[in-house]
Amino acid sequence: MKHITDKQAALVWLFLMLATLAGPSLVGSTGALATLSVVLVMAVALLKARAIIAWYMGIRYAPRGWRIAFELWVWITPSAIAGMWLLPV
Amino acid sequence: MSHYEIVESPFLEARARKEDPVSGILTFIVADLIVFSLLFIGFMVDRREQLDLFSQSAATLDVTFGIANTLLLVSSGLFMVFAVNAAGRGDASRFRRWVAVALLVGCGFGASKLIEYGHKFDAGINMLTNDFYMFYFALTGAHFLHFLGGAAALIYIWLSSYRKPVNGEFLGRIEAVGLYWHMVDLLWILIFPLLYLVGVL
Repeated sequence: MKHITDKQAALVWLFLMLATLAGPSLVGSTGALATLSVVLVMAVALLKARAIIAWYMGIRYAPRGWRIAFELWVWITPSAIAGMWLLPV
Repeated sequence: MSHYEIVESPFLEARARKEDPVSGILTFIVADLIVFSLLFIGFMVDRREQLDLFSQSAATLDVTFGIANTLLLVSSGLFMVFAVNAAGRGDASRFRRWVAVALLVGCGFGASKLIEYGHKFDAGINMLTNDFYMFYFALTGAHFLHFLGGAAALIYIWLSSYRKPVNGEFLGRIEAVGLYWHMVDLLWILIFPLLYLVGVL
């Protein structure tokens, strides 16, 4: 199975660290800010998850079936979480 | 010299087929991710029915722990990439070093989680306190069990590397353990915002 280089992995790590530290600053408390927060927080989580799947796990080099399976999961799950938050009660 | 015609047998082929731990672990990982996704959706469904309870309970979680846990797991994942790459180059010494570092940093997550649980128990909060905490302990507890399994697997490949060449057939198992370890990280990437960030809004 093909893998990314150590240098590429370090760059991915840097992105993951920065995205994690930025997370709480995306959280607004009420109204439209809260709505925007949820979308931003889950979008960042989606990007982080994609980075781990594609680069750390090397799925970008995997056969198409695996790429599709992981891509479906990484898009559906955070979208479902955000979508259910946004649905009116 | 006589010539023998070899007849292929599917049974002989099956016996001769080498194990494919990477495909096996990827199948497990996809199934596990789907199970956790269903738990996440279950959390969001219950949350909609008890908004105030969930928001107030989520506000008691310490985001600092959540961030620290994420940073530790993400860093551990980086060292696991280094370890797998070293194994691919046949560098057993460097492989063992990076697996040890990945495990050590991962244990930092384990310790942090236990400290966080301790704080909750000291405050009289447990899985039966309310539905939010039922999900909190179920999700993080299931994740913690996955972490323990991954840690055991790291110890296994570290010890086994003394007896087997890391870039031979054993490399498949090393890659499989690496993929599993990244799954532990991957799950936390969604558990953290679900419980600690979005949950409080």
